[in-house]
Amino acid sequence: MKISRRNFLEKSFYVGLLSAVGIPSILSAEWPTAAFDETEYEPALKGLIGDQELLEGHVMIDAPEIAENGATVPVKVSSDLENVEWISIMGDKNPRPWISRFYFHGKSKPFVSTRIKLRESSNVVAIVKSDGKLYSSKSAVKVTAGGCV
Amino acid sequence: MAEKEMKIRAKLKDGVTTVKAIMYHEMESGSRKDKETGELIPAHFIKEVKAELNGEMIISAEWGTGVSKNPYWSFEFEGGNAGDTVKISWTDNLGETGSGEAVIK
Repeated sequence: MKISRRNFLEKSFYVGLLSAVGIPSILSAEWPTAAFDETEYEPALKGLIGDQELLEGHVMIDAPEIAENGATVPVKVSSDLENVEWISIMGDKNPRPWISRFYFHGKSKPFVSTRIKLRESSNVVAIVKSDGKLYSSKSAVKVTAGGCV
Repeated sequence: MAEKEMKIRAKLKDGVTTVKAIMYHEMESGSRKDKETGELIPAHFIKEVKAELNGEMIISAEWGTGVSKNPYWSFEFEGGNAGDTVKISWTDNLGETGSGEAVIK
């Protein structure tokens, strides 16, 4: 690869910036900008997990079949797997499909209860990472009044 | 930055502590328009959250704009005792912070 002077300077700048900012102090991983920036589900999913395979099962989603208010849809996600590293939640029709990710440390249980925005009727998708493998499940929610997302 | 309010409680039952919290925050997505001016309202949302038990991390989270306004968050962990302190703190995309503490009951 040929590196021009300008390119080299740019790269050095970003490397310098990264070392100055460092790893976010409270997190073990970088905030998923690549997933957040995408406005379609498939690219957002790819931004989150790359090309890694999604396995089925072991992810339980508790979400309403019908949500009267898409601005605040209660969602619970849990897993029966051991060593859950994180749970991430997405809404496949949202203008920004990636919603959140929770990391489990110490003696925390692989469970999260949260409230999310859904623009329209869509699938709530939950992805669980455990022992390097990814599992996912989805739950359809019919939204009668969309959330201001 | 100003510390914002949070409601948080932690309850121990059969060895499992359940924490429930509401953080007061607009969670503005950045894609809504001001009804009067027609201009986009800038994004303003919590990006990073962490929960600690007696100063030790138990759960951390990354949030986007799809988390509802005034976020509700509940989680569970083992190993807590009555009298222990659970603390939740957050940082938003503008660098503002907030936190709240609860003693396990």
